[in-house]
Amino acid sequence: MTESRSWALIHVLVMAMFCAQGVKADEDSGGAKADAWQTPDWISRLDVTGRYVGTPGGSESQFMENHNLQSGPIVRFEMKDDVQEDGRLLIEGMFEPLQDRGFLFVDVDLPELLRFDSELQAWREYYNARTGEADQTVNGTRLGAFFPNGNNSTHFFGGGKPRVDWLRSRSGVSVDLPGPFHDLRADLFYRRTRGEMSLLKGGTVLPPLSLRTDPLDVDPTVAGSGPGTVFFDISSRKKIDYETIGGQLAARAKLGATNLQVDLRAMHHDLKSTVLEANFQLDATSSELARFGRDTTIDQGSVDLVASRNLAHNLFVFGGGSFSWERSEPEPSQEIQSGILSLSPVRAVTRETLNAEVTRFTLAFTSGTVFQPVPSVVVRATASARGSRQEGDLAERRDEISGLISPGDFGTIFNSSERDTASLGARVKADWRVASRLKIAGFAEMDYRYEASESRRTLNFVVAEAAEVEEVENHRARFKVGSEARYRFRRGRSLAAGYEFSYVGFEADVDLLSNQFIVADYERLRHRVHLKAAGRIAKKMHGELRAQYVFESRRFDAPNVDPTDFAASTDAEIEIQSFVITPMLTYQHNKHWSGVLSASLAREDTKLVDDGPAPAGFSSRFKGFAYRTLTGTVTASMNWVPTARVTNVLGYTLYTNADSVENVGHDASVRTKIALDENWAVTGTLRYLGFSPASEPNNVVDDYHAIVVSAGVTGRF
Amino acid sequence: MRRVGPRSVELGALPLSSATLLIGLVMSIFLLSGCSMGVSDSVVPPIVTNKVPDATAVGSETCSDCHSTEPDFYLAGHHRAAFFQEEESAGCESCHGNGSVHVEFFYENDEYEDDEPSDLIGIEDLGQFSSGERSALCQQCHQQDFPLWSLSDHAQSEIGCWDCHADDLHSPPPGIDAKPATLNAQSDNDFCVQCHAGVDAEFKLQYHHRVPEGQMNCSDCHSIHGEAPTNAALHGENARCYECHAEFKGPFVFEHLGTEENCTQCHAPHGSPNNKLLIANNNSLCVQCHFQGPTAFFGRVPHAEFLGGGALCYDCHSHVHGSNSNRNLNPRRF
Repeated sequence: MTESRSWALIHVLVMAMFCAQGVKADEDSGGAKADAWQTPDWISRLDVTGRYVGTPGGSESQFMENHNLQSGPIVRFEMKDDVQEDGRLLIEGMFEPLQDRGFLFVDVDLPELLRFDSELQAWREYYNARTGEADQTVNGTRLGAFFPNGNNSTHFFGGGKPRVDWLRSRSGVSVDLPGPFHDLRADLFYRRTRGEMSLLKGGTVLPPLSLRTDPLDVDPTVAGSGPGTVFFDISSRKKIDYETIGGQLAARAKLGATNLQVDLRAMHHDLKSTVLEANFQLDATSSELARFGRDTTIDQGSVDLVASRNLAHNLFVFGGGSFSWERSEPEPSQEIQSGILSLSPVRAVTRETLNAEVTRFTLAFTSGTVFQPVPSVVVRATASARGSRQEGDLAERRDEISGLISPGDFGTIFNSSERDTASLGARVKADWRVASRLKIAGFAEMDYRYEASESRRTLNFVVAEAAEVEEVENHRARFKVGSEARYRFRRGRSLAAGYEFSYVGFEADVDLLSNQFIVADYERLRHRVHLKAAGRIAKKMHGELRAQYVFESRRFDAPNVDPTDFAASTDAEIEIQSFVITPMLTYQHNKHWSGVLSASLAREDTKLVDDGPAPAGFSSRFKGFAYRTLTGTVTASMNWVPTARVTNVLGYTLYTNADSVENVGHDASVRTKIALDENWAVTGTLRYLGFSPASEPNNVVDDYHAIVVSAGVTGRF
Repeated sequence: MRRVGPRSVELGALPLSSATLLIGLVMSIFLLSGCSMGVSDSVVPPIVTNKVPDATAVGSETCSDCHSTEPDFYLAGHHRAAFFQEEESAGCESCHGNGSVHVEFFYENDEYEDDEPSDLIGIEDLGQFSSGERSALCQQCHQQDFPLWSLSDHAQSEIGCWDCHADDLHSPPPGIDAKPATLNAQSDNDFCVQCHAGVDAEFKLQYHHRVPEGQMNCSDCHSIHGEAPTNAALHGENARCYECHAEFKGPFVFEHLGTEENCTQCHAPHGSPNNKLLIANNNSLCVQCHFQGPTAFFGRVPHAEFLGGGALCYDCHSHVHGSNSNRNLNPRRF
């Protein structure tokens, strides 16, 4: 953004001169359109705007992460023309060249013949590698000045400006046909995502377990002040290059009164991802250079058939089926070289894929109905069934050169897995209009999923290692019921309230396990109460209030870690409470003044109610695992239209997060639009954006105060 | 084009027992029944699109002889095809009713008086319709485009087509693009948040999908017209997410059970105060499903040294969406 600032200033000046000249030309011509503004008939819209973005003294990368705004000109146009006898050509585009952003849309519409439309969209996004979380440990300890922008207890990030370029395009042709298949459409998709993320990453390694009195209650060692060490991942570099190409053929038919939809779809994804890491520790124990590759190609194909029709004036039914096939050929790779600081490598590990293939077949059905047995009752019901089979194999070779750190070993690893899943689901909802102003709705839904998975991991090394085998069957059932009552008062006022209850039960039936297992059986109970009130508050004021409260409880049966004993050994419980209140007010004083005020206040509190008996030697197993946030958002805007030619909009938004995540943001803007004549108008915007991530004095790296100024002309013809 | 006239069939004529039987057998008969079934409309209250039952269609071009600006609406957008359709009832008369009586009256009287009762369904008449009735009007032509509309959340909440599309159909106000098929706001997103204020607040949070910046539309993820039930049932609840985030779709040799549930188990798609749109930060997220055993370990690996000091689960188990090389989703571990 910095390098583009000088260009942006020039562009803004040019835009301002452009606007001024336009006004002058308009005045010189006595209000009539000057010759200089004569546009061809086929241009229907033309906007030219210059935007300047400045972040004086703040973090540009955080600003770009949050808003993705950059200085530069913005050009938008729309062109229309007639083609053939009744046809139409539409071209619409927008370009922000200094932000590498724009779109182009082309639409050729020949009634009763065909329609071609194509769109291309590209933009660059910036990311901030920092997490933006509270600058404190999970134990509540603030980090010292050494890690001013530390985002969690042991890590900090800095440097670099990660960015990702997105490209999305779609082109399609639809043809109108006289027969039952009245609409045929073919679409072609192409998407590409390329990114490069370089960052400095660092953190601490804690002292050995043996040196702590309570290993789970130890403050992290910072800056080498304790027995631990500090490590740095210098210039950790991640590159991604995702490419997707695909097509879809869709047909819509009307056979009698039955609507038929047939969709054939094929996609190919080529996903390349590489991470480079260079690490060393300050206490000179080791250095490491690592590269992780995660390349994959995925092919997908699917065919869908959905049919629907009205069997009677009060009975609508639909049904559909889908078959999909997915095939992945992953090619993970790894190279790690370890040494003592800058000494020559004393350990080198390489890992390469020999062959790999993962396939998945999925068959799914769904059906449903909307039935109105009497005028005051509408029943909607849907049911679905879904099954899939997945098989995966991946063989890789691992070579480790012996050295000072490791004795070295080499061999092959064979991963294989099979997974079968089946799920059933149904939902029924009934709306009953009890009286002209009272409506009651109730619903019930359930679904059940069964999954059987087997995986085997065989390690053929010189130094023998045991194979890892897992055979597990999972059962997951969900059930949900709810009801709502809605009453409409006079003068458009309404009140709606409802309650929902849901249950989720998960159970793992372990048949065979030779290593670790970390998923506990659990039950989740969830209650939700919601309310909505809306209507006229005063003569010129309309209000709306939405509120909901959720209470959720999860009970765990933690499995024993002993691989020979899978009996549940202890219970634990987590509670999650949350509420959201969203009031909104609209005020229309007269045709010149109006305003909107909306707010949202949300609270979420996740806490451990029962963590069971602490293991020997530990005061607590879960200290610090609480998550609590208070989120508030207030948005106010005011429209002032002093004359028919002038429109002013003032807006302000405040958002704030407290507790586990702390930050405050401001977004204030003034927008003006002045119509010069029936075609042309000038626009201007002044916007302030501010952000502060926490109250910690040293934590100012992610602060920013940004000013956005834009001015332009807009024409519609 | 099918014409909807006054109906002779009363609602509720279908006995409940018959309906129950029909529901049970519907999937096996409705395709076979084909053309033998009577033509009908979606499950909504009846509407009358002809004010004068005897009126016949005259065609949109006849309307444009006097109403010279309104056809611009058709010619500017997707209704263009309807305007030129050979069937005379397409176009203006689809919503306003057949115009022959109206035209004859005009030819006989030269002009309408302001207080003259119209033979057509005007804006005042349409305003008296319920949202369902107005949607039924649109469904005359668009049912085959949105056959599952009656299943949509909008329809169930008594939000009709016109509530989003039709306020300014004939004369878009200044600053609004003259596209009849688009919504009545500066952008689709601005329009949606007028009702979904809570979602708008979520987009104001620090981490959000690029909807406010204009890189995405609400409709990129949401099936506004009722397609969602079939999409989710046939392709899974995460199908929309995988359209852009294909790298997380798999299939993987080792799947993460959590991703099979729903992406929203871990991510808040509209906005979150946490990086990567996570619903909770750090390990607070993971321990909502992964619980510690009676010792300070997860599995065989002593995790106390890491977890006690605040290391993140993600530091090691970085392939959280699935791994091809390690069952514990840890790319470093053999």
